Amino acid sequence: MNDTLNGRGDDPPARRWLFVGAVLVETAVILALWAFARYFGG
Amino acid sequence: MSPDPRALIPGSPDPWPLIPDPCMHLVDWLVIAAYLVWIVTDGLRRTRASREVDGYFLANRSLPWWAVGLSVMATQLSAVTLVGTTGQGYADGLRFVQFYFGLPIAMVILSFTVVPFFYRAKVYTAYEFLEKRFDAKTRALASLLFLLSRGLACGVTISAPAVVLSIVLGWNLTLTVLAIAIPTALYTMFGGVQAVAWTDVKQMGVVVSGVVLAVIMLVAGLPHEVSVPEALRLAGVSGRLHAIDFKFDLNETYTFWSGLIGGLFLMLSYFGCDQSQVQRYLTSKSIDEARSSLMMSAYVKIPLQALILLTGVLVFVFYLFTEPPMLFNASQQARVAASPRAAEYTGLEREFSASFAERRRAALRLSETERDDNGAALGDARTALVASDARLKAIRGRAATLVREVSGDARYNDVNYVFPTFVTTELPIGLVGVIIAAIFAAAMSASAAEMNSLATTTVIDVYRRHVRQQAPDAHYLLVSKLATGFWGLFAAGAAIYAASLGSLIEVVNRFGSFFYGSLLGVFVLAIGARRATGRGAFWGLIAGMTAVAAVAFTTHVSFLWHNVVGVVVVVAVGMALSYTDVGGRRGTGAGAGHRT
Repeated sequence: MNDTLNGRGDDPPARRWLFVGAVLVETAVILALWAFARYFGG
Repeated sequence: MSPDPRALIPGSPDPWPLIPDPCMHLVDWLVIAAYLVWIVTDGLRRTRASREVDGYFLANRSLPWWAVGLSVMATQLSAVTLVGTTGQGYADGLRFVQFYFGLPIAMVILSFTVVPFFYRAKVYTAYEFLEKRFDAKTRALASLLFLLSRGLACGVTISAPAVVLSIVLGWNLTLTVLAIAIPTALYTMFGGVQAVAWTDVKQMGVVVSGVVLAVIMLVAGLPHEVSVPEALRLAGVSGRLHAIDFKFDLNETYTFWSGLIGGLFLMLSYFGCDQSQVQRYLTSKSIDEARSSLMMSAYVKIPLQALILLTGVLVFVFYLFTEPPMLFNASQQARVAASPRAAEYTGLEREFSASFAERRRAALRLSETERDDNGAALGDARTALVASDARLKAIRGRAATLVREVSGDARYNDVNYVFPTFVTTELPIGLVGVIIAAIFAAAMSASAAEMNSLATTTVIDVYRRHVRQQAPDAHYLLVSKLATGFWGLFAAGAAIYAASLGSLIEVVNRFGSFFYGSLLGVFVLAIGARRATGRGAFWGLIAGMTAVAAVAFTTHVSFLWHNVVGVVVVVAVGMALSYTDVGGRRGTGAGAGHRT
């Protein structure tokens, strides 16, 4: 496969914080939902 | 809400012409009309920027990440989500939010895999990429499956809200379908993907505004003696706030694990392999902006879905203090009231009213007990609310059974009518129009993207590939507009037909679930397995769909796990066949590196 197909090569620098942040935010939201339910008696 | 006498003619799906409904004030009509004019005008003025195929299908790769991100979200957030999810929140609480737990991880994975692959391959469609990687028959099969499943799904996207609106508002069903489909098809046909994306941006604004306004009105509608924390506690005691279920049960749809793992595969399939989403991020200015557009959903989708579910929960709390209709589908309610079992129904209504009064007293007593911090009485008060809620639910269940027996509709369920009924009966003039416009916006934004992607696949993967391979750009542009118009008409026709055949909606959704996971498997082979060949991909796809069908029809495994089955079978069968396909491995795929 050539470079056009394999997608490798010079990709623009991925901003790691964007991706790590998404996982952290999701974790925080899930914990918040759990805590919300616990606090209000769910 | 009183029964609609116009629905008393049995067996007639469309008995009445369009007449004004008492729920809709002139101001509400003006709000909806203004919204439709605004959106269609905005979409049509994009025509100038869509004068060639690249502009029409890919916006000349010029759209900023935030517009693409909002378009991605608007495409996924259909009226079925808006109306159904609020109803889900009312009936079942926040559990449905788990369905989206796999989405952020899916977006991260897609950002590193398909986004750079598709973008650098300079394709118009995801399936075009499959011919570059494998062969023409794999591309043809994948695009055909997409056209079939998405074409029918586009009808469902329009049909589902049209049915609900036509019953709640007393509108003629056919005209309701056309009121959604025609403006959408118009601006999509003439404005192309630019019109789709920029109207999506505005429509997301309308949808979110509608949801926020509904929440504000629900909070404002609480009795003076009940504060917001007390209201939430009432919801919690009633089990509506239980959002996370860590149980591992393959037969249970809404758990943490089914959402995280099964949902991950579903979201990878949908956002990575479905042209209606792929085309969104192919319009971005760069790979980086395409990634950012997907990552917007990763951050915002779960909180937004939680808010929509919470709206349904707040509707439940509202109806703790204001008597709701026993059944929210006025059409079925009127049908039973006109049947030989009307006396039985009337008896149930009396029981319902008495039981509601009891539940209301229990809710107020619980709030008062918590305010007084009376620990001894708190347990009793909670038990009383839970018990009275269960009694009311049982009466509703008996009423629903009566409807099923009278109407013959075994699948009767009025959960989709809860929010529209609340809106049309409890909200002030003007705000009803805003929320109905939001439902229109959700339906139109999703179906516009679907029509546009269907036209793209039709022209690029079918017409230009197999019918007429060398033609001027102007010719393809004309065919693209005609294809969009065709799919708009098809969607409207499918919607009108689907509305009278509830089982068709189920068939469409099931077909989609057979297809999604298996198609993801093909792209996993395409991108992740250098040794995979066209023969392996093609027959692997068929094996995957067969396996999913077998699981769906012979087990009770939740549909969220079907995508996992599809991917695993496609990759396993595809790799096995590829290893035996010596001739296929020697080739580099038809037209490798050549843009068709």
